Amino acid sequence: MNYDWQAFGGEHHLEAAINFHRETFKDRFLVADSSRWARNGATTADLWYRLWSVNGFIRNEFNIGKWV
Amino acid sequence: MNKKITIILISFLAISNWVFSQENITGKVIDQTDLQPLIGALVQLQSSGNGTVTDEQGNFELTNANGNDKIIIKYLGYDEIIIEVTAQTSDLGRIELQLANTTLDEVIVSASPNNYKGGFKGSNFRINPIALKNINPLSTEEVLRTVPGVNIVGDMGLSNRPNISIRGSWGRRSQKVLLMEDGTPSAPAPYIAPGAYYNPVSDRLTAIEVYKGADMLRFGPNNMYGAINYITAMPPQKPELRVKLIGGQRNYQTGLLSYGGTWNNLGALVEGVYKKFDGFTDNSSVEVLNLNAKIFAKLSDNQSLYFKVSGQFEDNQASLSSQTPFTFDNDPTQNPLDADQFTMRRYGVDIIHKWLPNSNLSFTSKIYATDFERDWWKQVTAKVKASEVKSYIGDEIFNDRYSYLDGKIFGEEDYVIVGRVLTVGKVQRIVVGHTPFRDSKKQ
Repeated sequence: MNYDWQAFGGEHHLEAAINFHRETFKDRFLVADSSRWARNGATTADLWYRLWSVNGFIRNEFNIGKWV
Repeated sequence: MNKKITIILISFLAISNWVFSQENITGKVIDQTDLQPLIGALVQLQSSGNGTVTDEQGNFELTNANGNDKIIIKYLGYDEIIIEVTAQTSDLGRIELQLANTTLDEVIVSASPNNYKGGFKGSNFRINPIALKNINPLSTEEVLRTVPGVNIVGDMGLSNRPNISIRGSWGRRSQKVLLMEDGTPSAPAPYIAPGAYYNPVSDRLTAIEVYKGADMLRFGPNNMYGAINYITAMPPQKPELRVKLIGGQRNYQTGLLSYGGTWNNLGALVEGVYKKFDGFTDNSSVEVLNLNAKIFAKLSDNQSLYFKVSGQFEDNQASLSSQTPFTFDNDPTQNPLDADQFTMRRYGVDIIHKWLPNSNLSFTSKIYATDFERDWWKQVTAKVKASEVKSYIGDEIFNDRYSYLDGKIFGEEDYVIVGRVLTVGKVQRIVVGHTPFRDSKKQ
């Protein structure tokens, strides 16, 4: 969201955002016991990660008077 | 006689001059904000529909303009302009186009030759479209190396797995740098596993932006050190078919085919890129196929929509640890480990919508999703003394892959990396040493 507004005799720019994020990560590690091109073998790690994240920010660019 | 010739010559020059002023109209199209040229803007005569596009300096020359007419100037993401011309008009001078308020900053890139993006609080650097076109890089690493504050440790392939460090961050697989494609995080799992196992091929890119500093808070995870935004090609203004074919040493091949254009308020582009390369060492080949399609539509005066789908498929031989100082000194291109392989596929979709309820307020919503899967075979290796290679791996494998060691005298510190050998029973020997490794990530 972007919003231009006026105050203190100057233009201000307000920006806000919210972000929802989800990830899934499956990690399997197999050790081949036959061909080196095998697509199966003994599973030595079988990990499953899931993550949710919500984050956001609000920022405003103030312009107060003329300082130069 | 001489007088006659002079009169004819003067008359001819006058006529040709008159004809020239009747038919040719020139001008230069620039961005109103940064006063930089706009490349590829469409300049069209309203009556006939005939037109042209601006060149790399933003200049155009319209021919066959007769009498009173109107010239329409369009550029995707900018408000169009209509200019009335008469038979006497020959030069329109500088024409300034204003960025439409429905434009999406993430994906519409200005053709400006500036090396920075105004308005960003902090340090930033951009590889502009003209520079990128002129460099015509093999990979993204090649151009990113030129950016101040960016450090790259080369790896195999064509930047498929880049190691980028910004301001001294840990560079391995660019894990501490946020990589984005058109403003969307591109790592397979940006929070859990941010390693860059996907990186766009350089042929698809129009510009590259590098951000550092305060405004990084706008972006997602891993924004401590810096971010890199790869901006892919937008639909051209004038419908065009683009074919790019490149061949080179070590079986380097690139083929790009794209078709796109802008029809009224809708720009669309479909693109396919195929790349193949045998790599700089043995057994380090790369094969990449990327297919993508995108649409940018101005839905109304206060709404726009961007939609992109893409798929990437890779098949690489990826040796991780085949060299020792000894083997490198002998022959830096040799690599006998042929079973390190990496295959991946990635599907992605981006939807961005912008809505301006009034001139002071705008809402941008974005939905993105990717599905990434890789299968990775890693060879299990052993480091043995160079003098003991033959006895360790046996004659057959030695003669097949390590015969360059034959007859050499080795020092105490000379080692060679070979596939690990398992002894089964007392007689049989098998080289197993290969580990299929698979994972998948979704975001």
